[in-house]
Amino acid sequence: MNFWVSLISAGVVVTVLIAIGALGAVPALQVIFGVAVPILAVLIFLAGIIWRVVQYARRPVPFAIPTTCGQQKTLPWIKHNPVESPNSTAGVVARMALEILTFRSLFRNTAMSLGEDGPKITYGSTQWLWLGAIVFHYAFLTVVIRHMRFFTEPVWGLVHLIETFDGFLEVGLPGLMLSGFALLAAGGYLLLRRLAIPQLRYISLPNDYFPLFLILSIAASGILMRYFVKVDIVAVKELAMNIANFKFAVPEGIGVLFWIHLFLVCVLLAYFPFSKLIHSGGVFFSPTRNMATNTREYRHINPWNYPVKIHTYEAYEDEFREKMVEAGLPVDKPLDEEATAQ
Amino acid sequence: MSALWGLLKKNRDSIVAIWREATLDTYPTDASNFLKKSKDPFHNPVGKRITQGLAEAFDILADQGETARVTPFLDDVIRMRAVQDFSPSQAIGFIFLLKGIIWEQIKKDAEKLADSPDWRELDAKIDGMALLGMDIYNTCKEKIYSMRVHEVKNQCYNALKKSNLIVAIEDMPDDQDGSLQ
Amino acid sequence: MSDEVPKTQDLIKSIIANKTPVASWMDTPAVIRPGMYCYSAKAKPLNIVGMPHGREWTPDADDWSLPENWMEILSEGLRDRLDRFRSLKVFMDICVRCGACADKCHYFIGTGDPKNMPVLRAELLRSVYRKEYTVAGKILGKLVGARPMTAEVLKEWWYYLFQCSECRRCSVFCPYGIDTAEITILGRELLNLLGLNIDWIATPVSNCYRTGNHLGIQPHAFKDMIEFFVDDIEEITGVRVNPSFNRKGAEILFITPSGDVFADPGTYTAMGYLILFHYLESMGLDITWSTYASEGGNFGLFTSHEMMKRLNAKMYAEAKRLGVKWILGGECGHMWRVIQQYMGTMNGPADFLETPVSPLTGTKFQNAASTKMVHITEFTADLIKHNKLKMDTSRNDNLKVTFHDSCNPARAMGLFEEPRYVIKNVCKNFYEMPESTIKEQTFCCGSGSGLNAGENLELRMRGGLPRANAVKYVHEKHGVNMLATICAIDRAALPPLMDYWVPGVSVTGVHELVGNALILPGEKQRETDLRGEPLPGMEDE
Repeated sequence: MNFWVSLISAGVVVTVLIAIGALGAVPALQVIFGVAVPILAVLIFLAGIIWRVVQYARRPVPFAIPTTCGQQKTLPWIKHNPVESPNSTAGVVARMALEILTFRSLFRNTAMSLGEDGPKITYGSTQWLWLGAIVFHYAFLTVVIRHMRFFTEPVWGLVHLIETFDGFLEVGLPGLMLSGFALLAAGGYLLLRRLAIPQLRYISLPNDYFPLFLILSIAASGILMRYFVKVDIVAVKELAMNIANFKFAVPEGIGVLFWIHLFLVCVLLAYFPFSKLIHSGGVFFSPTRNMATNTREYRHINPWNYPVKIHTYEAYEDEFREKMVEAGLPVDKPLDEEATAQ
Repeated sequence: MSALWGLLKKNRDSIVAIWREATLDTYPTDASNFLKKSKDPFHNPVGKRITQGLAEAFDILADQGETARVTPFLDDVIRMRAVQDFSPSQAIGFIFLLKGIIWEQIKKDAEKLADSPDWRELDAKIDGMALLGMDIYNTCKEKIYSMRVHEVKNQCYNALKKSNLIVAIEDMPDDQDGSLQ
Repeated sequence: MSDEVPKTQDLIKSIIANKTPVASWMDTPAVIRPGMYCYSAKAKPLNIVGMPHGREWTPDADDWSLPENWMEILSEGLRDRLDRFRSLKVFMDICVRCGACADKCHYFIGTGDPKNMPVLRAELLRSVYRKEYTVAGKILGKLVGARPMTAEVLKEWWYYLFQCSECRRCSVFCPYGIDTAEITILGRELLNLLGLNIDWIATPVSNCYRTGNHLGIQPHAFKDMIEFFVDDIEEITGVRVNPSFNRKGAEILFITPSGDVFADPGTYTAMGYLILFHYLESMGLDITWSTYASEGGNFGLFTSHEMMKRLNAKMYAEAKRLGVKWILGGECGHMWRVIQQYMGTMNGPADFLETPVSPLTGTKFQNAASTKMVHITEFTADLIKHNKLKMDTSRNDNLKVTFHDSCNPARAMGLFEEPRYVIKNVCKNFYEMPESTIKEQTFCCGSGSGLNAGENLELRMRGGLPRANAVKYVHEKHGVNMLATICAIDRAALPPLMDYWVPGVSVTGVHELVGNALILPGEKQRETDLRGEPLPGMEDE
């Protein structure tokens, strides 16, 4: 896939989706875009995630293949690294938590520089990917939690708490929430990185650009709505509460930007389980990270282990008995008289 | 010191930078970015060797040093190129790039030097480097070939086989029921 | 010199431009270059072990004489493995192509070939997976990175799956732990369904299957070769060591890669084992070698899971037959990946053995309670810690040593400190290579996973460049002249690598250093080390 084709096709698809989303502003179609599509998207999302997780979970893990990134547990006087080379469930949990909450492996992307007194690890430009990724994911999470305000009445305490942190700058009216901008910036960085680094451009597919375009459009439309082209926020909350309570009435007069925003979110939800975005679920099933490195101490069971044909010692001895006896090697069956006579 | 050599020293940084860039450009596009950008000497040995080797070689040239002195620095570069995807001419062609780069970089100041005999000396020196490069390339290739022969000998398979110490594979029976993997 | 000069430059530039075409990687077929691939497997070794479709074929020929229904075989094989290996299914789905792995592969670093980026190596398989197993891939094809299987794609698989040494360095950096080795292992397993192995793997496999070791050394010859070492040791130390073979009732069975028995400098490591065992015998060590299980290495790992199991089975079978209590394993890389991560699962439970206990120190190796197999550096480190070894370390004073972590003991076991502890106690001059090139981030020798053939030396030299480069650094900075390692493939592959990139650095196993330092009871004044080189201070005699 040529790079331009990848980029343009992903861009075209998102543009078309934006156009379709705008149709939500047509009063006659509002039940479809305001009720049917969101419910369908959520159902696809949930069913898709469950289907994927079941797909992974039901597949056997025949061998324990963790990647060890630290000293194994061995002799008592050798310092064991219980997280990078976990030999217990607690260690595995800690390793997975570090991986999922702090993107531990990505953080390993350090560089060395040669100073006066030898090589040194430097933390710098090589960790931009880590920084971009962590900002992107946490900003996304914060935005999602903030949006629970629309679906809860009274609004959950957690949402208030997150909003307090997110809006700590206390500027602007409505109060500026950092997460939306952080999401836009980090997503933009991840996109630029893909475009600017030749080897990344070379490996990128349309389905790498598409979700980025989609998420960036969602973030941009959200920011526009909150700060610039205001939509009727009370009506939006009413719609959200309606859907949450399975009441299928759409309040009138919500701006077109909202309909675009909502439709893109629906597309993202429906797309999520069937795309690389499933890495969020899949990472929990990664055998190089979620297994203990104690297979010499506790046997791992392969459910489909089957007997194989081996070359037995008996067959081996039969083939070499004479030479073995001659060389003074012990044998199980002595040479019989006839064989020696020959 | 004549004016030409002075110009080379004055423009040293830009000439070396462009020479390095051009040499790294001979690697596949998506790799050359990594080779150019990664400054980690342990993570990017190709980039490091080219960066260092070319700079050192150029400094000797600009100093009018003995051409033979560039050997270790050209060796650092050519030793790699001899085992990478380059034909012999491609592997040492980067040396000739220097002529054009030097001219491009100093031509605006060099008009009045057009008749200087130093040009011929510079030309000869770069040609000399290229010839050295051919020697180095050939030495590397010969090394590879001799290692290849050594690898074969080292296995001493044939010696053992002749002395009937091992079963030759031709003499082993097939597995008849051919269990499929 | 005039205006023609820029033209000359253009000319040369056009000669040396070697640009990746702007076309997508999916539309760029692999060019099979000599020096980069290993010779194809012949029919005979495949037939011996009953592997399918053995035939004569050559990689650079257009026609690989594939079986008629090869696509079906492959498709069925892939489906079957997707069902049996969660790893494969997950790794096919979750890559986001973030590029964190791209520049972590020693082959990419040394070759610049974009298809040596781990992500792209895996995409070679993923693209076919998407076409066959995802709805989007079936409908949208290349737009979602899906492409059909063709003979060209198959050749690309073969070429690049045999340019991966299964070292797992990329899996350390992947945020989801995607392990290219796992993909390569299963990819090669698929290729083997079509008889597409390489000779350097297939022949050792069949040899190992029939005679117990990679070279096909027969039992009496195996004994003979060890006896050569016994003679050499006697010459050097004045002490005649007395190893036993296939001895029933011994307490411990010793298994090491056969490379230690037939190829320098591994042979000196084997002499080191013999000296150590002899030293310990009077203190209560009761150990035997086996000619049947005379191979610790397992090229089955590079062939298929089933072949790995068939070869590995001999270890427990022999331990059971001889009635030993536990197994001691020599210095080997991929052998230890198999022991640590596969053996117990495949061929266990080894309940006929006992949890290993060192007869000399009483240390119980709880970490090997299930497989009942102990790594010799764990064993020796324990001996040293308990002051069981009397040593003259000055015999290693001429050596400035650095340690190369072999990929498998590093990234499959986490065996970092044991070999270092042993080395530091037998040599006074030890220098680490830079942090990002050792331990879990260690660089491969460039020849692992069965790629240490003679015909692909260019690939090996390129792939080994990052490792050699780090050695060169300590060689220049500290005068390091000895590269220690605990892997038989390393001992075979690193000497030519050093010879090419860092002349002046030799390669040794850790137990060769131990053998040099150990003072055998009743030994004469040693004048040479195990290689026959004069000891420090003996140069003039």
